[in-house]
Amino acid sequence: MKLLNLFLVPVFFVLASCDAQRLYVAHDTVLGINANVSPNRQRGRLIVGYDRDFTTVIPKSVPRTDAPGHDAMASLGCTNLEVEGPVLRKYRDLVVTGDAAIALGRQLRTGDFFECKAETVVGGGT
Amino acid sequence: MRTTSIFRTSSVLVAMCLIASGCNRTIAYGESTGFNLGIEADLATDAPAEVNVGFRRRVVGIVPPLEDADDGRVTGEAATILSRFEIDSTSNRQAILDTTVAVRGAFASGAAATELIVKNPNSERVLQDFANLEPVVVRVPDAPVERAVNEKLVSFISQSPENRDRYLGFAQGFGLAIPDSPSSGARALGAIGAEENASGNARIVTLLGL
Repeated sequence: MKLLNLFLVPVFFVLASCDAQRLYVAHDTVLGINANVSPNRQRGRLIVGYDRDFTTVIPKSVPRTDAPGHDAMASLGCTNLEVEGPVLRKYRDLVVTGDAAIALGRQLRTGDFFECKAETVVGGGT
Repeated sequence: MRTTSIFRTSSVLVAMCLIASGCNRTIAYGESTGFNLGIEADLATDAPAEVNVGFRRRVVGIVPPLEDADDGRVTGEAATILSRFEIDSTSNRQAILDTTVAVRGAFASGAAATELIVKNPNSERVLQDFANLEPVVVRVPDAPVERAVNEKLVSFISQSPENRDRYLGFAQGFGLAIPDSPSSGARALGAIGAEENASGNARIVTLLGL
């Protein structure tokens, strides 16, 4: 999926009802060689290496407990990739939303945000 | 249409939809990152071909205020999002294929972002680490031996936070001068670069077997 598609979906959400009613997260990650060309050969793309597109549309729907107004829905995403020479050593990708994202955010307070690594992810609590 | 144009056009489209219709309850965020050799061309348009060699990153965010506007006038802070991106490279000049490249990205919104930063008792340190706001100046010694020691240590602490803490442990144990900073990276780099720590750093390199 190209970046155009990533952005078209949230555009449809927004056009349909002004404010988004759903949390939308999408990413398109390439590592290595990626080539594509249109059938009429008018449009082409060649990527050698790393390429990533990330898009999110987040409704601001959560009432704040300590002040007026609303905050955004909770979501948390991390990607961690390691390449040694020509070898892919590690690729970790995580997208979490809602209570699980809040719980993971709490667990990551003392950890590494990039790693997004916790022993257990517990949903439902705040 | 090239990706660059698509990104811009789509971002503008989302922004226009949100602004024109008075939408203030939606966050739109997008990023496009390339660390590559990339070639894109579209013969059907007048747009020139795009060639990227190296690093390219674009970020777009449309963030409404926390408080809902009653009379159309915006008040208060923006809704909460966090975004972070980092590329780390440890290179081996003797064997280029031994080079390790680590690409890391993270994003959080709403209460998840709040839990990470605002409610964090170590928020000051986390924010420093998160944004890497603190400028760090590392002295480069003239003496080749001392310079080699520093390069080995900088390479070592760049590999992982554990290595950074390990070096700082040794530095504290040897009584080296460590600058006062909330960021462990800044403390380690400062200790490595300090002239008075030269002999101690050489001992640490030997102990670590670097």
